[in-house]
Amino acid sequence: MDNDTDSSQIRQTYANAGRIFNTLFEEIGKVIVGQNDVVEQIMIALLCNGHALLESSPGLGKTLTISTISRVIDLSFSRIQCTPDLMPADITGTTVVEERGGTKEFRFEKGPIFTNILLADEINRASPKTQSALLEAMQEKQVTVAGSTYRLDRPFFVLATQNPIEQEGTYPLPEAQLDRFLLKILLDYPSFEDELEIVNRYTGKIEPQTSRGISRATLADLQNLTRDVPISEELKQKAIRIVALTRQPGAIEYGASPRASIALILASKARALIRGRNFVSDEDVRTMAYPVLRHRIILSFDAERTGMTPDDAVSDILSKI
Amino acid sequence: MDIEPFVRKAGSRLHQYRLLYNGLDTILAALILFAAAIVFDIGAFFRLIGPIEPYVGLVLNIGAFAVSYETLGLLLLCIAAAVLIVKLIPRIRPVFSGKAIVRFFKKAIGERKIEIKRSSEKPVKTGGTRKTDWPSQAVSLIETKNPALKDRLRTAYDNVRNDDIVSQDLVAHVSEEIESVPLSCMMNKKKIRIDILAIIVIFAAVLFFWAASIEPLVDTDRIVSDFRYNVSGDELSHVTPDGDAPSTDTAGSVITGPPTISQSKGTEIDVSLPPGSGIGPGSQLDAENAAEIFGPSTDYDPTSIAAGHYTDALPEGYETLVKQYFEKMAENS
Repeated sequence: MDNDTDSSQIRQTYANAGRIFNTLFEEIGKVIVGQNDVVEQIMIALLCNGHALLESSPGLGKTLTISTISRVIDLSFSRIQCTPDLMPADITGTTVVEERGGTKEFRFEKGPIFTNILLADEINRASPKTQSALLEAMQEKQVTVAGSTYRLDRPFFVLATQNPIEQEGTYPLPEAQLDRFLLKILLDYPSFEDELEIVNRYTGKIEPQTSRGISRATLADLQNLTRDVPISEELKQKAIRIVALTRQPGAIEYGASPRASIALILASKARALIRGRNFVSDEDVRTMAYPVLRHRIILSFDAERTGMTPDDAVSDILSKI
Repeated sequence: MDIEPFVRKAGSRLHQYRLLYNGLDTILAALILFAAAIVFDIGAFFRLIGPIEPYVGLVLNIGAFAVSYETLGLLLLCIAAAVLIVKLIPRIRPVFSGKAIVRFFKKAIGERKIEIKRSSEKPVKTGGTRKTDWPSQAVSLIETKNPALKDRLRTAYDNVRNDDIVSQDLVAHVSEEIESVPLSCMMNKKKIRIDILAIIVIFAAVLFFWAASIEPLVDTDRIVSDFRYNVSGDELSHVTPDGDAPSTDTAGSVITGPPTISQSKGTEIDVSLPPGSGIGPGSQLDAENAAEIFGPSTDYDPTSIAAGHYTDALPEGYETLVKQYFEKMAENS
């Protein structure tokens, strides 16, 4: 009976998927101007049950974007501002002594990580110990404190940010940890027209508001449907070939792992579903290659010296396929 | 329409079309080579091949037609060469295509070295096999001819057995759409038209050259003759069958006349018989005195006896003469 209910619910969700995503993006668009690609990529990471690393300069609306998404999808949201003195307990939570009825007992005080969407601002400022605690929770979807394990709520999505311009005194994430992020999203400055719209919206008397777009259950159905989106064998092999080419000697010193192949195919499926298609196209694979691979490859010294970026290396690989 | 039988059928049909294209290309290539062979009289070179030379000029009767052996051989050679060309072109075209060459030279030298190094390394395995996957190629072609099916037909075909909602939805939609897709869309009608037209034109040209007996562009007979008789010095002299003196003007010599006889100079030998020879018992004997000198040893007439009988019953003194004769011959040889 439950299976039938679930099945019919999923069918309903699938039938309305196009309308659901339109509603979602419309609601988000009321608050966030432009940045359609960024919003889409964050949604892709959410649908794939992964995490995203966002690189942008300050003041581009990172917090606003992610908090708006959490409001539209009816998910709880927390924000952590990472600083060098941030301790792991500040993220995971700690055990406190509480006096109740004359007796003292330990009580676990949950940290900000116990949420659905967590924004870890400037993660490269936190110490490696604190970064590890967060990344371990991202991977395991649970937290262990004083011998007790606490499972995190589902869905659990971390959007970590990095500031590309202030790198002094930071602790860059090691490659093994970067690999845990499904996508690396680049947030650029808005166009003149978009900036004009932003100014118009946020200098007026009434600030734009948004309302709930979809429920948590619908999001869970969409996450299941993402994995069901079919992909042809040829495209699957093409995705693997793209990742394998990052391991060939040349401009790339260290290439991507098989985790990147999984990420690329999943992300392509999510993009197809968001775009209203029931199949993965060649365009999906090529477009998602950039956010999936740019943080998983390390360029050689010669390549960096010539000013090559990871995106240039990915473009070079795609031109060969 | 079910996708799997449709794709299998499309693959089989594509295979047939490819065979047709290859057949037409082979005929066309063979005709072009044959036309070139006639124009340049390549058949004359058969005279240089020892085992084939006796057949040059001979004619084979096939029904009402008479075909020379060299023409038949030329035709077979052209067909074999055409088959080879048609097989090789698809393999060498990607390597030597204009785009590949331009791309190679556009790269900086350092990148070219990396490229060469990469090509010599183990290739990335994708699980593909060398056997032609006709259904897969058919799907690609149908998707190209019907853009609405791009990526969808292939994805539906690969996931036809999945029972999830999304795959089944895709399969259902694609199954509906392929009903209006004719398999003949895979045929390259333009290529077939061009091939047939070219075959007709070249065939007509070949018949024209043959029927008009036009002189070949290259004097292959002379090339062949020069190759075979390319010697110098006094060892050889050419004598005509009539015994006339050989002509030193080779430029004006008639090369299509009766063959000359070649003789080589040897050493003089004395073939004269020593004194007393030639006067054997046969010349002195007659029927009247034969009976007085010789007693009959056989029933046969002594004037016409077997040669072996001479040595068995020689008169006195002739043994020494015969022995001297043969000794003289041995000395002189």
